[in-house]
Amino acid sequence: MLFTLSIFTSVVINTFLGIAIFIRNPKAHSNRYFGLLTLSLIGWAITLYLYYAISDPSAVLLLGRLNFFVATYISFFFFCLAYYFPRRILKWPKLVTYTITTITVVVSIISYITPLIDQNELIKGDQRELVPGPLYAVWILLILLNMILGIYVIIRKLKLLPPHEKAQIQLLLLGFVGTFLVGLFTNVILPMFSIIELQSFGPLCTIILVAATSYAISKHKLFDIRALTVRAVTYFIMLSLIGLLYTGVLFIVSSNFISRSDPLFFPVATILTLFVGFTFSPLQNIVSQMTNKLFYKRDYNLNEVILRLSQKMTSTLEEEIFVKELLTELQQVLTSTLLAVYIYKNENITEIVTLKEEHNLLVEIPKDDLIRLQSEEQILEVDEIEDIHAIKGVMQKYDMHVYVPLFIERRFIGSLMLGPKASGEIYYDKDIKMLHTFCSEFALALNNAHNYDEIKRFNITLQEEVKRATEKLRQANEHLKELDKMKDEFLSVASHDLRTPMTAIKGYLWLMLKKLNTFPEDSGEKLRRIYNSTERMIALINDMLDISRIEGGRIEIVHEEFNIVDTAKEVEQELLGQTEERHQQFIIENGTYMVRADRNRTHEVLVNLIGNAIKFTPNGGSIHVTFRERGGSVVTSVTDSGIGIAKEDIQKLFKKFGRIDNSDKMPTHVPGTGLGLYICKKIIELSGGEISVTSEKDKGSSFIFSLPKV
Amino acid sequence: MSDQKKKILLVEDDLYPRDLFSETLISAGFEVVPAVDGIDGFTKIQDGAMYDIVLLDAMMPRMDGLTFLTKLHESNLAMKNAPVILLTNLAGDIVLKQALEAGAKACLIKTDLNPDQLVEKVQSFLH
Repeated sequence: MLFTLSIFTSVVINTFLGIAIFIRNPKAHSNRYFGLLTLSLIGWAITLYLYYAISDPSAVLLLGRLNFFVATYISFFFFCLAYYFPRRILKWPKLVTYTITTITVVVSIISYITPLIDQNELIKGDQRELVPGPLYAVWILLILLNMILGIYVIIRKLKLLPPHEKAQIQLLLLGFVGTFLVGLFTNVILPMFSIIELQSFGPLCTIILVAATSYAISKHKLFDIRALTVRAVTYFIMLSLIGLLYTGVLFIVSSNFISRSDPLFFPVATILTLFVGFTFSPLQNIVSQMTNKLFYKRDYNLNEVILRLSQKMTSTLEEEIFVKELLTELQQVLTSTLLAVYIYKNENITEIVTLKEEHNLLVEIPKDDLIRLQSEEQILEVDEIEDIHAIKGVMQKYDMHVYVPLFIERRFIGSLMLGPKASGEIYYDKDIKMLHTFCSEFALALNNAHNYDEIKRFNITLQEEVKRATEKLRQANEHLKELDKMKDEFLSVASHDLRTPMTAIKGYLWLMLKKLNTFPEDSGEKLRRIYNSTERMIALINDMLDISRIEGGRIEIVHEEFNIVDTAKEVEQELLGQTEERHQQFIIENGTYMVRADRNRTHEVLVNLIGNAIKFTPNGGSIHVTFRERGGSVVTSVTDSGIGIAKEDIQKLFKKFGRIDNSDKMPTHVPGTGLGLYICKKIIELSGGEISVTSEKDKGSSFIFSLPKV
Repeated sequence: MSDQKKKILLVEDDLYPRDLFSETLISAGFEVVPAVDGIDGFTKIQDGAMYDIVLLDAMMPRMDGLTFLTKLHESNLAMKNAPVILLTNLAGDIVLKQALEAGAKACLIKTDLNPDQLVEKVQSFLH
């Protein structure tokens, strides 16, 4: 009964696993040979079952030989699996592999067809006895040979393969050893001591090999075999304990208190079952922790670690602080020796945060390599990468074992880099899973900290903008205040208010004068007189304003460098009409004489002097403007052939309202404010020059002024 | 010589000078758009309308000439590159300095110009 159950279980489980693994990747050699191995194990189990179940002698013999046939392939396929799993790195010559294959096939055929290996099977009730043939030893040798070759290949691979593949082949070895030892124990050793009861468990051992290999093939990524072993051991202890406990209690209860037939027995049994059910989980934790402590010190609780990391990340918005705390925690949990976090701000700025480790190459990565790393979107573990990828070289250059890129909504914001572990171990599946789980949270936290930072900076910028706006407002206010000040100055007000109506009067008069070219001369003359009078008023207002400002020190002399000859020529243009009207000769000397003075004011002075010259020179006279350099100045002379000035009157000239009565000399009333020369003098003096006049009655006048030369 | 009339924005709060200048400039062949103060003037350029030159009075209620000028230069309107001549009856040199700082091309005293001279000045700034 037990035997049937054992066969049935092993067949079911092995079939299931065999199909599952084969379907995953029918093309891979490993998967194929694994499939064939499980097939042969299943075949062996079934034939064994039938061998014991059927009593017909000829059938039994057939089945016995079939059993041998199939069994031959078990060790052969084991060897093939070992050769191809996880990949074929040993390349034996075709001759060798073909020979082994041929021998196996031949021997298997011999075992089935001929009595050379299995001569006879004797039936003794439930038992069967094998009568070995002459070549039986050969068969044994072949089985052993294949097994030994398989082991040899595995051992060679253990030395040659990289860590994660090494783990896979280790598992295969473990599976094989498990099956072999247990099978040996139950079916060979114990029977030697005449304990044959456990023989039935033989087929169940095959599950060990099959399960181990399935796991090795399917979960090939970086599993920690030690963790696995410990977990397996734990479960085994657990189940044994529970089993013992349960049977023990039941036994005690049934033998001492309640017998089997007692109606109370069933409810008690139920209670006990429930009890076991509830205590299973906590008991498992306790046992698991104990075994971890004993065998696997570097284990950590994934959830606890992730929780701790999350707490650290949400504890503060200060980027540098929480990154450092994070790195400290990672260092503790993973025992990494070098850690660094790169925070990508833009093309030209990348911040690095790290703990103070010595010789941390991770912080010295130049921009080019960083850019190459940035194109990777997955977590990279250096041992997992095949040698053909350039990125492996980049990582190895800086002793980088793990690269974790950080993304927010597909935008790259930085990366976490880890160096080797202190223990020299690889980063296991669990470690990578932990990093994967928390890296998106980390990216989010970084983004938050960055945003917080931006908001802070924006706040400062805002404050500065407000300050600047306030400052501008203040300046604009002062602006207005200055204008206001100007408005408030009495003379400014007066002059402005006087000028305002003058603008209209002058303007409309002019327009009317223009129109009057077609009107009779007389009314034109009357309007002309009105126009001239407004011009006089305007001139007076201008002069009074100027004087008020000069005397009040409110005048501004703007110093520029310019050619005074150009200014004189401008004045010439403006006054040409007048000179032509009076048929006066007006000559300005050519040349370049650079002065430093107020251009507008100098213009005003020239207008004044030349205007005077025109006014006080009769028709047909001449006016000359000449220049020369003397010392550090340019001396300008405005000479006319006019009526001249008497010696005693010269003193009066540059005074306010110092007009000279020339009514006897000049036929027409000469307009003028009497302020012009006074203003000229002030202007020239403020510009850093001097003004003077030489004149003789009836012989013309010469007004001379100097300005600083450039 | 372009066929189109040159367009002048005339910002002057006082009726008489405003009419005087408008009449003068129109008979000289310009198109004149008058505005009665700084705010009115700004409204006329805010919608992106372009003028070839702006004649701007300094003393106006609601918004004076210098404020208008400053506002114009702080804006992003295309008009900020157009020439602006400040017209005033205030003492020339102080206003001149502020006007030039605010971005005006020149500052002229109204009473010093007869209408023909104004036209001449405007034409000189348009070339």
